[in-house]
Amino acid sequence: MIVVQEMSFSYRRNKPVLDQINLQMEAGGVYGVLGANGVGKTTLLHLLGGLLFPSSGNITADGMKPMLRQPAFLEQVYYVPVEFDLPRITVQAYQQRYAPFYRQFSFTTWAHALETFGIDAHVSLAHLSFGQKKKVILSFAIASGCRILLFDEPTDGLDIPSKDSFRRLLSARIDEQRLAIITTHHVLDVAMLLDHLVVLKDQHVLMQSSIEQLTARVRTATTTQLPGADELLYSERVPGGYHCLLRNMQGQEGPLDLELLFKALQSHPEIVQNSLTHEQHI
Amino acid sequence: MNNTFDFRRFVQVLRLSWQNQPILPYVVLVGLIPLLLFFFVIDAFGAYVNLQSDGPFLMFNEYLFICGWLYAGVAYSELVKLGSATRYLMLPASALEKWLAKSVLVWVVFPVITWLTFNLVFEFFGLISLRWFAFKYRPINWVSADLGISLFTFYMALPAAYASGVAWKRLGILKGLVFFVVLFIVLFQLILIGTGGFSFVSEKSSLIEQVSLSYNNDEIDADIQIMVRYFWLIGILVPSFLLFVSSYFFTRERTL
Repeated sequence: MIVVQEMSFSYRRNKPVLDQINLQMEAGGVYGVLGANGVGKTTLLHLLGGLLFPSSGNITADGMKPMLRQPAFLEQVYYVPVEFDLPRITVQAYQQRYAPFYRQFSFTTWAHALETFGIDAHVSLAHLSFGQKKKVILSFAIASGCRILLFDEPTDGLDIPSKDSFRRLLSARIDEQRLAIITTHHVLDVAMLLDHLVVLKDQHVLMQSSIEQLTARVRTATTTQLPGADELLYSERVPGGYHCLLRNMQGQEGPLDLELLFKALQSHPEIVQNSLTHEQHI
Repeated sequence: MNNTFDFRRFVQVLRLSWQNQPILPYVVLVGLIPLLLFFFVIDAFGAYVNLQSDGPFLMFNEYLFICGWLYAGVAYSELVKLGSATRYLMLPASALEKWLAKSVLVWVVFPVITWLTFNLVFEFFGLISLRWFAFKYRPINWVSADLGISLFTFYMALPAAYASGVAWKRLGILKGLVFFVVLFIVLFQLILIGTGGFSFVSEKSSLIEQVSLSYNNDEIDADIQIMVRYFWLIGILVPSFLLFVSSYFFTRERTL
């Protein structure tokens, strides 16, 4: 659905933010993009949405080039940015103004999402808090019917019940035809949603893998004593023992702590990478 | 490239652009009404003595120029903030449709609104001036050559207002203002060169005098007339047109 080939981007000459990136993202998936501050997560979303143009290389989404911003492409992509500036109109008026541009817009989903988030459609956007505005934008994105949904820090500003609501609403909307890409620092907020993980580091894709492949190779566990070196990949001291990233030697099933995996990749990329069967690495 | 045009979608974009248009020019439009009435009063005393006045028409020009150029300058203000720019650029419509929608508002709708507002104020003053001063301005001749000249000057400078608006948003108010003044002076000087200057001391109104050489003066030599027309084409119309077209590319090539 989205293919990124040898794509580079820089804001300033000779200082690439992203360098020779290759990615492939398929419909039906929820992709999490992780990376440290300034590594280019938002830039990547902007490039996928056609808000920035690659310095070199290609991006295609559903066979179209985002940078051309063709209406057929824009009808299929909805981007929820971190920063947004909404007009001083009611929630309902916002929907009435913008929904006609999206042919697949679902009024039922819109009403359901607003109800789930507890937003009154008759209230003015100017009177809403940042978190409430975020809920309106998220509701619109989910109801838009777009095939590609781009979320930049979607859980920022949401309270705990709303994070759960967002997860439920999005997972109900993602089907075989749709794709969601989420960049976040709060990986625990969306961990249950993700089925693919992309980690960016030093202008490159450090790792791209499905969660299924990851859990087959590594696992996380909290132990009182450090496991042996053959099994241990990374550990953190926690009250009462160690939180460890381990090789999944016996094919055990269990939850994978993505935050710990991310930290391990940041501090010991080679060791962790060697333990993973991944589709791509630097 | 992104230049498809669909009429149904264009109407949608036009409606959205209308709904999302900047408020500032309307504030100025209404805010200037007392000033307009004040000048009518001042001018009415002179007109009463002279029994004629071009004052209202000249005031209309100033009113249209101030409000219209301001509107043109802030037409793309939604591209300034990251949030609103994202929403605008991601709107499912082509760059051509978005640009045309803005252009229709800037070049047609807002000038018409300004004209209607002015007429309302003018008629209102007519009602009270009869009662207070036993005086009423004669109706403005809206099909005169003066209006053509006035609109020509107005539309010619709209692209300059666009460009200065962009400079204002990119560089800040002060540098944007400097840019506007410089650009406008350059255009104005080009007009002066083309027309051989003008004088306020004239039987004609100053506006007619400004541009009469190229459009209304039949006494000059035919060759000079042709040269002057070429000058207007190359020196004024072409740069203005290029600036206007550049606003399309500004929309199309804009990134965050």
